[in-house]
Amino acid sequence: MWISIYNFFSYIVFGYTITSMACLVVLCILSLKAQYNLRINMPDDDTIRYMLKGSPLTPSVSIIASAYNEEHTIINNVKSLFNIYYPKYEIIIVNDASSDNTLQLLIDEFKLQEVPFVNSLRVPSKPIKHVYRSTEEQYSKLIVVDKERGGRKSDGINAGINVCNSRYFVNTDVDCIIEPLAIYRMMWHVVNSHDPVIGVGATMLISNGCTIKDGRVTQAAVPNNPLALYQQMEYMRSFHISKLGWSSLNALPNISGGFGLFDTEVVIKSGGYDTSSMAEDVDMLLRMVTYMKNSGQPFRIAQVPTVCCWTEGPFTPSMLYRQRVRWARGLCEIVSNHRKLFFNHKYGYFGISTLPYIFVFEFLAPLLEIAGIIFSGWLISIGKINWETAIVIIGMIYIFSVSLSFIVISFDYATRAVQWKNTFWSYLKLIFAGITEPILYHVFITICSIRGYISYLFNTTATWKSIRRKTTGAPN
Amino acid sequence: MDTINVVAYYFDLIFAWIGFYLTFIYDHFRDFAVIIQIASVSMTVSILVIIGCLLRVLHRFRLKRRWIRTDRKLQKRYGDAILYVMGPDTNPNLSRSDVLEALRLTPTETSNSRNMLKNFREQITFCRIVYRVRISEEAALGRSKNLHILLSIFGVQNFLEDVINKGKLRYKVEAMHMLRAFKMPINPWIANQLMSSNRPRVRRLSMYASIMSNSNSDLDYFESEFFDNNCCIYDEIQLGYVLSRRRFRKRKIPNLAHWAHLQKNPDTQCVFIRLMRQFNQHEYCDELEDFFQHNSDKQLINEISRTWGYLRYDEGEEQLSDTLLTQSDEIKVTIMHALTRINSGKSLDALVEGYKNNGDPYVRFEALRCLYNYGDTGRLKFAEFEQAAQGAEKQLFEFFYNPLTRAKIPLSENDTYRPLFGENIFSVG
Repeated sequence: MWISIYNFFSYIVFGYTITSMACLVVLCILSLKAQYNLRINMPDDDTIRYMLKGSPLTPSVSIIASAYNEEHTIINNVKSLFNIYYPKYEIIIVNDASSDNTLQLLIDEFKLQEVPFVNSLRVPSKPIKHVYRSTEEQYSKLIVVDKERGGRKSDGINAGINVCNSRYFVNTDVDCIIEPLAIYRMMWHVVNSHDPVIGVGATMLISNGCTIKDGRVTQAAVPNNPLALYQQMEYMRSFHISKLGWSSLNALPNISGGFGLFDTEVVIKSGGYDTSSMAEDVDMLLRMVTYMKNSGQPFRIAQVPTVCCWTEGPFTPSMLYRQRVRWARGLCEIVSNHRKLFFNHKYGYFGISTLPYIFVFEFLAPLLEIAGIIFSGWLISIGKINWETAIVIIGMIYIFSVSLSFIVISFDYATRAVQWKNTFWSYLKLIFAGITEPILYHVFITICSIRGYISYLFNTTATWKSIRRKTTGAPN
Repeated sequence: MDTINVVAYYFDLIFAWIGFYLTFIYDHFRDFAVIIQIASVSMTVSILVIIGCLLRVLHRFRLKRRWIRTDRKLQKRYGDAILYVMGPDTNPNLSRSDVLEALRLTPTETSNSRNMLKNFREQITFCRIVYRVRISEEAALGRSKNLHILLSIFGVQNFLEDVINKGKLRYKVEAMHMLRAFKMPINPWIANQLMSSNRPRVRRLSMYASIMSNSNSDLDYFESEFFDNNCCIYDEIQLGYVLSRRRFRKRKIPNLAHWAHLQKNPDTQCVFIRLMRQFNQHEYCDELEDFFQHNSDKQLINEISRTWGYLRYDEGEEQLSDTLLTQSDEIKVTIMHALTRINSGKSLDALVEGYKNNGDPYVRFEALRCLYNYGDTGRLKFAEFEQAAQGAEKQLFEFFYNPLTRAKIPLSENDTYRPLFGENIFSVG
């Protein structure tokens, strides 16, 4: 019987691995196609700016960021948001009942004055206590919303949506550093699409190691911290291959919660962000897709291949562990809450390809990997392992993984997604990360995922904890 | 010949190695299990991918350096002169000899543009430098004459037309953007040829170029087989731009209401109706009346209402006030704005109804704003409502009087005319 189990497990796992690799190859091809199309269809930044700058048709955007106990960084971070080049925007900062001086600092620095506000609850959020606007001309685009404590970013964003005035809004974090031309790059997809664009994702990278001056990344650099370096590689892989690939099928499953543009009306009609979800970004997009598909409306979800936003990644194992456990819990919630969409042809590519892929190759992968490690350990302990076969299979997976990293590096260079400081050494560091990541980093992430699944299964209370920051988008 | 032999030798060598490796793999693994065979093939492919990616990066790195070198060289040689010719402090009517002097060129040197820009890379890089200055420097807009002298010295128009005619797809698109920014006409033959391209973007760019440069052409493209009956915001921006160029050159703007009638897609119809506002086509407003009466498309009704308001089409006032209370909230607000702009004094009752018969605070607030702007009678009604206001209604007046929330009704043509979703309290921009 053991031999049967052994054979079954071996063939199933091998088949799974090969299928997973085949899917990644297909995503690479799709991403390459998307890049080619964007290269032809998307003009350079200057041209986009030239076309949209003076047009009365350029859509307006509200930038919504939620803040909780950010007194040390809030002023500089808000000022850095004013670096954006875009003709029609407003910035909405939602103070989620901070217990420190965050609100008072904002009031003092930006000369805020309370304005009357009729709470038309378009999406559910904790009650809004006050709305402030700046009396200073240079900050006239700033709106600060003070609300009761919701405890989640999603609640803050919902409060921002209740106040926002624009057709589109950008969901971001106060500590993210937005590229000055980012909104133009995203808006290009909105103005250039024949179907309504309900969301635009943007490439987001790790800011650890970058030179930041006056709230801008003046020199992009690959981080020296190994954890941040691995995350950089992981982000690049996710944005350049996975998201770009899915976007070419119009089946992008996730617009990053750190920086993404959404159609306000569709978000409202889909019920706004789920304030109890740990993966509110994926959840929101899937509900938007469900709404559009159920109402029979055509739509598009786009992805910008160039870097639009920088965020500081966790730089200690404990911080990274907390973040990834939370992400894994979020994935469990998505699988559980949106199970109706899985393998459902009514939802197009989402139902038949993207979500099944997420379920089979992202959700189940950590479970199979851990099972594989335990099984191999058992085989070694009883001396039954076939080392030649094991080495060949591990080598195949390892070399495939490394080749993916090389493809990402090649894409990054081709799209000129970012101009790295000291190009040669930067790419060398990324190559190093690509070579060592499958052995050192991936195992850690798998353990975090399993821990997240367990905490979801036993319904352990999960809370958002702010990540300690080293750098900020602080103007001097 | 020697080079070819050397290359052929290396190719043979590479193929021999690959052949050897594949034979080795095959011989070594043929008796193994299928799993091992698949794994070995996969590894081989992965290794080839890694090598390919490395070679690709190296190749691009080499190419990029060449482009950067060319850019630096041309910047050094002509950069200051270009900035001078298109700069804010320069005389906008420089002569050809002045431009030549700024470029430090003699007339004999300019007899052949190949003397100045040797190859395709230099030519396109030069165009890019000028283009960047043109679109990023505000002052450059007022130096069109100088720009055209500069471009004629380097034969830029012929070069760009060549690129559009024979170049790679991405260069074609880039060249069309450049022609647009340089305000150069495109050869109609080339434009017509490109309209049959299978790339929608190329088709549209060529269409705009054609409308802009050809004095005889109307908007025939929108009736042709090449038009897919669908317009996006970008198309609208482009169309507005090319029509404004025609107006600038004192050429006739076609009857846009007629073109709206010819379209089948309501979105495209809306585009033409919006353009009517931009080009002040008051004389064709009556052609929209049957649209207004016999159409149920909300977006279309909204656009027509707004257009009548902007163009102050008095004859439509009655129809607007009659339908006010039956429309959705968004259209109600548009109609009230339109009635306020027409401001004939006949629609006071409709605005009062708009305030009284609505539960939505947004619509009530907008009705109040309209009353306030509706002459003396409207102001009186406003004061009356203010006196009687209680509870939540008072808050609407607080809004109104707070300088940070009080928004103006856009009355000029330059104000944004596409409604911003939920512009209920604050104005953006």
